[in-house]
Amino acid sequence: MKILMKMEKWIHHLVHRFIQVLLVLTVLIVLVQVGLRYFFSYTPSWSEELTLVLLIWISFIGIAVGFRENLHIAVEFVVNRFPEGVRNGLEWLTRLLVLVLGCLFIYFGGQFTIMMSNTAMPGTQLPLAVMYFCIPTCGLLMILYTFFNAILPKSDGAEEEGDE
Amino acid sequence: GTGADGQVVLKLAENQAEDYPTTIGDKAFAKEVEEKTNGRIKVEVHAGGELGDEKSVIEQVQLGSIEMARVNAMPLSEYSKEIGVLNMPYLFPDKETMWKALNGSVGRELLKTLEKDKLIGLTYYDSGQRGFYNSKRPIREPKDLKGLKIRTQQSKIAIDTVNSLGASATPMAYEEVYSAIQNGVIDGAENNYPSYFSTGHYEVAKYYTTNGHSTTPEVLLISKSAWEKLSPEDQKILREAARNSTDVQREAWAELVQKSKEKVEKSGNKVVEIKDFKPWREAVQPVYDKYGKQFQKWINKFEQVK
Amino acid sequence: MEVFLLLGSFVLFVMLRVPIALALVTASIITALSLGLPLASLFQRMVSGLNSFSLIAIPFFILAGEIMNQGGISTRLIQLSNIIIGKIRGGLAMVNVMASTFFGGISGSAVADVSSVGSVLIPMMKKKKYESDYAVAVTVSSAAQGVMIPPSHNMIIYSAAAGGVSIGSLFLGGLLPGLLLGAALMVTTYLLAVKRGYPKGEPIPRKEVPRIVREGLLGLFTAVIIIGGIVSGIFTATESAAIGVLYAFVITFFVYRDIPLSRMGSILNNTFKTLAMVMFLIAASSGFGWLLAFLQVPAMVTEALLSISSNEILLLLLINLILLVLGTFMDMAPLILIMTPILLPVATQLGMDPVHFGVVMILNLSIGLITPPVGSALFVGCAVGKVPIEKATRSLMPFYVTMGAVLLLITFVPEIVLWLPKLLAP
Ligand code: NA
Ligand code: NA
Repeated sequence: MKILMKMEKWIHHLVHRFIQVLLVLTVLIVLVQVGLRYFFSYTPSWSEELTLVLLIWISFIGIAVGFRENLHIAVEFVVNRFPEGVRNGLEWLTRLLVLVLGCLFIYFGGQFTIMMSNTAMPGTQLPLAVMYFCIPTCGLLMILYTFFNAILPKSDGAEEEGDE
Repeated sequence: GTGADGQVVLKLAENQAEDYPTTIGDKAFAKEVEEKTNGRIKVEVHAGGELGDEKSVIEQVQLGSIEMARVNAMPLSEYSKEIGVLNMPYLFPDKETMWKALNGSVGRELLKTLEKDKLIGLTYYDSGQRGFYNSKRPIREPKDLKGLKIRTQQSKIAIDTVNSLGASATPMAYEEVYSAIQNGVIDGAENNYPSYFSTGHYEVAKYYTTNGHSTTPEVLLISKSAWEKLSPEDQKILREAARNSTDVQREAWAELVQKSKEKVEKSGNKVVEIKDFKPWREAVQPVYDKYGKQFQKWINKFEQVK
Repeated sequence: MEVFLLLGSFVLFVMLRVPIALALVTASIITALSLGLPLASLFQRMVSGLNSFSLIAIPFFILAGEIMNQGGISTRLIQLSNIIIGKIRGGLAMVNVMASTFFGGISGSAVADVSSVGSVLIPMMKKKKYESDYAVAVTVSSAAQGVMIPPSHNMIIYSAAAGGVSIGSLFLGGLLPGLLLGAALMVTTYLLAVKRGYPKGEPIPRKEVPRIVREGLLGLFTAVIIIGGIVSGIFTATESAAIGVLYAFVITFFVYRDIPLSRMGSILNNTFKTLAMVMFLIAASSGFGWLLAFLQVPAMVTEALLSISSNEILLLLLINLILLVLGTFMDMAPLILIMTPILLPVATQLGMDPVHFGVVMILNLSIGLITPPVGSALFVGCAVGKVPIEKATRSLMPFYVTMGAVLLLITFVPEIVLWLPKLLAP
C-alpha cells in the first residue's frame, strides 16, 4: 500500500511539473512569435502549430487530472434528493464510465495515432501522431488515477499538490 | 451508411458555401449518381463546412465515418505525400496542359497513390491560379516583391515559393489577413481571383498580379471503406459522374473568376496581367532544387504531357 | 431516432451526476455505436475541437487573471472604486459593483470575482450593518455582469462554437452592455440603499490616494492592452492574451510585490485546474456537436422554431426563455458550446447579427450563474457570505428584475451591442 501511495504521488508530481512547463512554454512561444514578427519581420512556420500541440496535450492530461481531483462540473441537485446509498452507487457509475472511456481512448485513440504516423504537419513537419498520442496517454492516466482512487485511502491526493 | 430499403447514403463534406463552384460540382456529381443508380445511391452534400474543416474531414474520410469530401490537394498532401507534387510552383506550362494532364492517365495514376492512405480520389476540380496582392505597389516582376510581408499558407512548399520569389512569407490564419493588411502588420497575401474578391481583401490591398505561381487543384474523395462496399458497376458510375462534374465545376469556376475580375476592376483596383512568366519560373528554381527529388517521378511524367 | 438516443442519454447521465463533459462523451459514444460510426472519429473530433489557434487565448486569459488575482489586484480595485464612488449613500454596495466592473476588465470569470472581490467586501459590508444576504446578492449579480466586460474567455468559446465570429467584435460588443448593466445595478443598489438607510462609505486618507489610483490603473491597463491589441489589429487575440500574461506578471511581481515569485507554481496549478475543466467541455462538446450536425439537428430545431411563429419578437423572447431556463440548470461554457450551433441558425434567420446573438446569449447565461438550482457564482457567494441559498435568492429578486430589463433592452435594441464593433472593429 505504501509503495502504491508513493507511486501515485510521484506520478502526480511528475504530471503537474510537466504541465507547468508546457503552460509556460506556450506563453513563451507566442511571445517569441510576436517579437520576431515585429522586430525581424520573420514569422516562424512552426510556432502556431507547436503551441496548439502543447495546448491539446495540456487539455487531454487535464481531462485525466480533472477526474482525479473532481474538477469536472456535474449537476448535483437531482442526486442530492437521493439517499446516501444511491449517491455512493452513482459515484461508482462515474468511475466505471471513466474506466471504460480510458480503455476506449487507449484502444481507438492508439489505433488512430498509428494511422496518423505517416503524416506531416505543415509547419513543424512532425507527424500528426505526436498530437493524437495525447488520447491514449489520457486514457492510461484515467485508468491509473481511477485505480489509485478506488484502492487508496481517501485522505491523500487532492490537496497536497493541487493547491500548494 | 445504409439507409432505409438498402439505399446507400454517401455524406459529402464541402467546406465552401452552397453557391460556390466546388459545391456546384459536388451537386452535379450527386445528381448524376442518383439518376444513374435510380436513387439506389444518394449523395448528401453538406456544404459550408458543416462536417468540419478540411483537414479534420480528410481524417474522417480515412476513418470512414464521412464517406466523401471535396478538399484541396495542399492539405491533402499532409496525409498522402505524393499528391503534394501539385503544390509545386509553375508545375505546368499553361492551363490547357494542366487539365490535359490531370484528366488524363497521369492524373488518374496520381489519384491512385491516395489508396495506400485509405482514400480513393475520383477527380480534380479547378482552384484557379494564385497571384500576389498587396497594399504597397504594383508587382510586375519578382524583384518588385522584395521586402513585402506576404501572408502565406501553412505549407513548406508554399512558404519556400513565396520566399524564392523575393517576398518574406508570413504564415498567418486566413481570418486575420484582412485586418493585418489594414493595420500594416503584413503588406499582402496571395490567392486566386474569387478569393481575393470574396474575402474583401481587395478593399485593403489594391494591387493584384496574375502571376499564377500556384495552381494546386481540388480533389473529390471517397473513403476506401465506402468504395469497397460498392459494386464494380456502381464504382464505374461514380467515376464517370465525378469526371463529368469536373466540367460543370470548371465552367462555374471560370464564370466566378470572370465575375470577380469585373467587380475588382470596377472598384478601381490596379491589376497587373503577367505576360512573360520567364523570370517568375526562373525565380522558383530553388524550390525545385529542394523538393524536386522527392517528386521527380511525377514531374517527369507531367513533362511528357504535351 | 438517434437524436433521442443522443439527447436522452446525455440528460440521463447528467441527472445521475456524471460530470457534464463525461456525459457528453458517453452519450456521443453510445450514439456513434448505434450509427455504426468508428469511435476513433469521435475522438478525432474531440481533438480537432481544440485545434484552433484562437483557443490558446483561453489559458492565457485564465493565467493573466490568476496572476493578478493572487497578486492582490482585487483589494486595489476595491480601493480605487472606493475613491471614486464610496462617499455616496450605500457606498460599499456601489463600490462592490464598480470593483466587479473593473475586475471584469481583467478576468472573465464570475466565480473568481465572487471569491476575490466578494471575500474582501462581503465581510466589510456586514461590519457596516448591511444584511449578509444583501451583501451576497450585490456581490454575485455584479460578478455576473463582469463576464460581459472584455476580456472574456466565454466570448472566445462562443466565437469558436459559432464558427469564427470575430473576437475583437465580440469583445467590443460586450463592453457597452456590460457597462450598461453595471450602471443599472448601481442604480438598483442606490435605490435600495436609500430605502433601507445603508451608510455612506468611509473616506480614504488623502495621502494614500495617488498610490491607490496609480496601482489600480496599472492593473486595469491589462484590459487596455488586450482589447487595444485586438481591436487595433496589431495583435491577434492569442498574441494579445500572451502579452497580457507578460504584463500581469511584471505588474504583480515587480510593481505590486505582494507575493513572492515562488507562488507561480500555485498560480500555474490553479490555471491548469480551470483549464482542465473548460477544455474537456470544449473537446466533449465538439464531438457531441458534430453528431448533432451529422443528425441534422440544428436544421430541425430551426424549422421547428420557425414553424411555431413567424413573429420575430415572439421568437426572440422564446430564445431568451430557452437560454434562461437552461442556464438555471447548467453552466455557461457547456451551454454556449451545445446551444450555439442549434440556436445561431435560427437567430441569423431572424436577421440577428452573430455578434449581437453572442452577447445576448452570454448575458442570458450570466444570469444563469446566479440563479438556483445550479449557479456557480451564487454558490460561491453563499459560501463566502455564509448565507443559505434560498435567502440569497430572495434578496436577489430586485437584481434579477434589473438584469432582465437590461436583457430585453439589448435583445431588441441591437445598436447597444453593435455600435462599438461597427465603429471600431476592423
Ligand atoms: Na471580463
Ligand atoms: Na461584486
